[in-house]
Amino acid sequence: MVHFTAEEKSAVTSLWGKVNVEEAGGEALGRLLVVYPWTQRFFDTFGNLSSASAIMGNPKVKAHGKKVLTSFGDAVKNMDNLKNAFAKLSELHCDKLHVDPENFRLLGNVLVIILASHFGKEFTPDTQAAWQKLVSGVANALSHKYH
Amino acid sequence: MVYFTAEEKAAITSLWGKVNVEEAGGKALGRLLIVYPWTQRFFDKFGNLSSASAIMGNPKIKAHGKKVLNSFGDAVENPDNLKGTFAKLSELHCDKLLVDPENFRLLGNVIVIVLANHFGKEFTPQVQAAWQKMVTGVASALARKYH
Repeated sequence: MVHFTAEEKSAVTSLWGKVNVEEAGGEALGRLLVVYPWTQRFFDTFGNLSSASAIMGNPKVKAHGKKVLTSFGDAVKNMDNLKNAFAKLSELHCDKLHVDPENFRLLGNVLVIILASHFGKEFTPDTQAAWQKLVSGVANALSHKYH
Repeated sequence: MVYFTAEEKAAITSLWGKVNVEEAGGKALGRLLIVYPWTQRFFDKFGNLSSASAIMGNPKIKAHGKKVLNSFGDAVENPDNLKGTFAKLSELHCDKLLVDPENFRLLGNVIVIVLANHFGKEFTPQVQAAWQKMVTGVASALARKYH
């Protein structure tokens, strides 16, 4: 189980407070599909994914990205209990969506990259460390119910 | 073997031309040691690594980071032959330095984060994809001579 210090929690929540979840979510999911093209297989009903600009501009990708990142907000609020917070989503991703858990790690890394790109100097090494720990914790929590 | 398209090579080299290798190298190595603290074990002769600010300000870390990122410059110049380019370094890291190859992937990801952090909007999805492919290729090339 992952434990966050008070400083780590504060680094995570203070940055999160400034994140535009809709924009960042679309950005994160879009970049996942561009950087790791095999992930597009999970979104074949989403329409035009034929180029980077098509993906980044795709309204279904943006909407789904917002949904995914909103759910990340639950992680930020439940940092001491990620496994429970994501138990149902873990079952869903295993039983219904059939997503390889490695993809959770990839999405987590893309999210960190977006935060780094957006926040510049404010994305200090300590902030990066706290966020890397959070995305790893979320990836583990989402894998927890796999069987 | 990893293949880069002409666009990917262009994305990589145009960004690389604007990178301050000394500064970025120090940041990348420093952030690796902070975000993944077990990597400090390879640098126990480097002096004060007791806090994030100690690590980021440590002159030996900065110097070594510059050395490591300079070597990345060889990758940028030889994208079609990463394995040949990094053969000797691969043997060194296996036989003398005893570094777990997973750490190459971690450093590669930190380099991508440092680039995203520095270049902001210029670090487009396509540029990210090209660089992610590059760092993955370098990590594989560095792992290749392991036995």
